[in-house]
Amino acid sequence: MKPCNLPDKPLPVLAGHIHAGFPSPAADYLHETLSLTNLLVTHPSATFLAWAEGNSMELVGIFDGDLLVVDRSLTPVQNDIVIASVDNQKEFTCKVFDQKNRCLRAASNYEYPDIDCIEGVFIEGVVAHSVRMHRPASYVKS
Amino acid sequence: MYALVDCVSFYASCETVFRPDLRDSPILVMSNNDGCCVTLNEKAKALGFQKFKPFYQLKPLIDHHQAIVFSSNYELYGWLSNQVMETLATFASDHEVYSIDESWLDFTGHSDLRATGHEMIATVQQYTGLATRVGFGSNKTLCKVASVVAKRVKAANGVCCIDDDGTQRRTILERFPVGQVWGVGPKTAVKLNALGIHSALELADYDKDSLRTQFGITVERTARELNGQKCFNFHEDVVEQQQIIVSRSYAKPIYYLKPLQSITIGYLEKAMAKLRANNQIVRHITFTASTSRFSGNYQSIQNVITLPAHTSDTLTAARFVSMGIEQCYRRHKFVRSMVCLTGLRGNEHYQADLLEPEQSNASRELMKVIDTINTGNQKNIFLARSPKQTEWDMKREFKSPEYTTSWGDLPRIKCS
Repeated sequence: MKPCNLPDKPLPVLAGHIHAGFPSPAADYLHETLSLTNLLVTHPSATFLAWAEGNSMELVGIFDGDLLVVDRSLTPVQNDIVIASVDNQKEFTCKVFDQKNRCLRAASNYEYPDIDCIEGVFIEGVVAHSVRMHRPASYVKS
Repeated sequence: MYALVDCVSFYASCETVFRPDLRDSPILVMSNNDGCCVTLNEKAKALGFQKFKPFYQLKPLIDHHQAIVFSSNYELYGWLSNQVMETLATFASDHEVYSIDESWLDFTGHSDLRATGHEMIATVQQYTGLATRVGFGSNKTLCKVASVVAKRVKAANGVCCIDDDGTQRRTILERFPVGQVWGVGPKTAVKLNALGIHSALELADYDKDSLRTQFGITVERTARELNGQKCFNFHEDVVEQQQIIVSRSYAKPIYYLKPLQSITIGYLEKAMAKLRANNQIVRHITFTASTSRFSGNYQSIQNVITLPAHTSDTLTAARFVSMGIEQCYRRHKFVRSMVCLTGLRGNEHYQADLLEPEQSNASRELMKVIDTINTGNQKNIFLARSPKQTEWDMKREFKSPEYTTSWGDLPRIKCS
């Protein structure tokens, strides 16, 4: 038998512990935890992640093994770093967008040819941010 | 006005998003276990490939045209689907995801819909790399018709709008076969044809009362919708899930009881995890195992297992399902099995039966721990008799990388 005076609904429970001491002066200033995703991904429904491979973008600060945050919703402007598909190659290429000269440039001390923005060259997205792994990133390679 | 947006050859198109080299190639996507072809792109259709044909029948044509074959990569399709749906949602006042590649949008009060349609197509293409089609209409049935027209008529450029004014609607419906109307199944279509109803227009003009008495309320409502009335509402069929099914074919046939129990327990673990994610509990579990439908001598075994009480406990369920399989087991060359949970109830509203042993708190806590350890579809902790990664696991030989859901599989961008 149940005690008859208990309400059916669960009783409201105060969130957090109740301490007898002085209340935390920081309690009124609590905010959400900072999220790297919120900082780096401005348009979630148009963003994908990718790994950089190679040294052709070192002068703009993208190194082999960096994580690229690619935003497909942005329209590239002069000197944006972009991802492009070139002549039906299997992999995307990362270049600096040179709107004035209608071409894609590398950014490296080594020699890489420019790619003219002509037929067969499609800009797939803008590298809005990149992340450097100063220690190896921990993920399972499949 | 409403819209139905659907993706063009969705699975096949997903495979080209991160593979620019394949964008002009014929592509076929195979079902679970690589059994038969489920999606073709336009190129493959043009070369004479057909959907739902088993792989071995398509093989000569695949070799001849060097067509590209993929196993289903649901991790990729699910992620891209989500991107498409989120992009579409920003255009309308309400939206309802209808399937992995279709979404209803509510455009009540909007004007210049054709322009909006083209803008949606361009935006989804840019954001996700996927092509879509848009059908506008004053209700769901007309949206479906419009979406088919958008697909068939090249000049529509992917957008068709069935206006409220009658003449354009009637012209479209006149040429639209009744069997292709949303909600009219093949059997109903045959019966309708026998009554002299061949086009969607003839269904729309038919006497509604006699439709209801002969075919039931759904066909009557469909006919009314073809006339521009609104009968099927948004979010109408969103009900609490009534059953949970996990069904797979094996990579190779199973003959004996032990491996059959083992693989089925693996499916049961998946089903029970889904159950707990829905915050539900289960009373009845149906187990089915069957032989190949192509083999000629189709055989199946089935057992409905009733648990002593509603539960969300995988261990209890596994014990009873194992016994249930043993009871009905006969030796056949099994190629697939299914676990179906029914008699579901919400965990909260549940009043325990006096005579029913209630699921203990310890069991609930244990399940919570298991689900936490297995977060994100991973199989980190499981029953000892459940297979880890066995030779019977789904065969996905031609699966593309998980470009968006696995760190190791993210696209590699050439900086060289």
